[in-house]
Amino acid sequence: MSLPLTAYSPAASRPDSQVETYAAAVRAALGDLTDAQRGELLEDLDDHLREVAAEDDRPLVERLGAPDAYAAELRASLGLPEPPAVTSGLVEGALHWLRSATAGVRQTHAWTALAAFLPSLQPAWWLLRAWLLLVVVAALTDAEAYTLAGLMLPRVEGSRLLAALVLAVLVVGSVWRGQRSARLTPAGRTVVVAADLFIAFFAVFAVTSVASPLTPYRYAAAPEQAAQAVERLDDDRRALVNGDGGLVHDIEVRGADGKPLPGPVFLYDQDGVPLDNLAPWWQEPSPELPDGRQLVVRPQLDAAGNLARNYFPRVFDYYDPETGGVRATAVPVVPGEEQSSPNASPTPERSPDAPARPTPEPTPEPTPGPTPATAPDAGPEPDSEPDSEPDPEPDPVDEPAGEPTGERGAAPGPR
Amino acid sequence: MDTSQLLKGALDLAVLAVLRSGDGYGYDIVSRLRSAGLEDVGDASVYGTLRRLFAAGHLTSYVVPSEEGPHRKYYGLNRSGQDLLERSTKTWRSFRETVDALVDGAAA
Repeated sequence: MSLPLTAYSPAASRPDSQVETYAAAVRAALGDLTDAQRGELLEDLDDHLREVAAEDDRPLVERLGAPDAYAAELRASLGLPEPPAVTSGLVEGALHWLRSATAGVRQTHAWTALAAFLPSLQPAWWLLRAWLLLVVVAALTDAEAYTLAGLMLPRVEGSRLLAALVLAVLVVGSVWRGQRSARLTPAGRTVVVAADLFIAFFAVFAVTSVASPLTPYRYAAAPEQAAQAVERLDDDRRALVNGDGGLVHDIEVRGADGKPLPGPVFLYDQDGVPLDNLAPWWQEPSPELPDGRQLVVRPQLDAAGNLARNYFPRVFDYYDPETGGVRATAVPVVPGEEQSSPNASPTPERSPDAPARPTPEPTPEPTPGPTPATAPDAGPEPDSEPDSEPDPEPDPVDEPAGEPTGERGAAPGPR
Repeated sequence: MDTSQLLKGALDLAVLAVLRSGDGYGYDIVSRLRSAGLEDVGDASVYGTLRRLFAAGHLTSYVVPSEEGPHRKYYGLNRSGQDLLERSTKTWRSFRETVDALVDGAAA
């Protein structure tokens, strides 16, 4: 490869560092030798290259050719056997093909000049890949990684401090790895190059996935009409995010007196399009319940008699992806809070006929979290049971009849 | 005819011959070979040949310190190197004569 993978050495003078870089690259290309062999045969290579460099101002790469070509010629004149066959990796094979295919270009002056310059950018790449690895980690642990704020200031498990610590570790690791790249076996080099490529592709992906910073709020390209009884938002529909990149799950509607309006309140934009494309509550981390069920927004009837989901505050139901069935929840749930709420803390408004409870969930019954907009009577209308609607429903709605409406009406909010 | 192949075969002899007329350091040897007419000789080839001959015990080496510029490592022929030079010269001459005879015979 005309780009020497060398131990980068920020030596004092330029000519010297050039010699060291070149010599290290030659040694790297002869990596199959034992240390003893290399030491004996290449003992004064550095001195020799220094002499060559001293005779002329032109860069070594131009006068002597690429380091690995030099190393090949050296190998022949030293009487060494050919290096072991390229069984060591897909990357080595591909690089070899690439080398022969581009041999013509690589002889040109422009290329050799470029090849002499690029190694000085290597440390920058080491730093950049540490940062990008941090973004990978953040993307796995932070729901809001794919936003501009998330990319610029990544968070790990929600903490920027933790992200900074992880970054420090990654930087040290990346630089350490980079400085030792001359000593990699071909298999090891394959791994490193593959990892680098993965990181580079991931960076492109992350950047193109990021929300536009121009408008703090954005909508899906084609908001759907919420005409179906139960519908999961498509994966590729965009979520509504605020300026910080935070997902917007719900909207609090208050009157001028500061009190939440009795719900449900239906919201539309200036074109009359329903605002039903808030953040899918099941974006990572998914509030999936241990048995695989998920939460869906329960549709309500709007004034025109259509089932709609652009009402607030929202109510959620349990949805079983296996059966496609929906089981109503007794109380509104807040995404992400199901797991932590103990089952035993039902609100006092529960009807005493416990056997008829529609949700004998083994999992904790969620208590509503900080959705303060829930007014006492802001719960869903009792007559909005999906199975009582005239609209045809693709999925059977498993709505036990025995659910006391009193519970529903109570719709307890946080006190 | 590809002279690089010929050169590979004769480079040992050429280096030994150059060293016989005087000790030299790496780049110096390369220059002398080039000005003797072997313009295409590669730096790596000469350096590798020197190291190989030295490792095989045919050359001596010593470092000459200098005030400005790098210290230079000089190579010179030792007894073994001189013997090798003589033997290689014989081999070369004999080979050359054989090929000459073939060529002349074919041309005739």
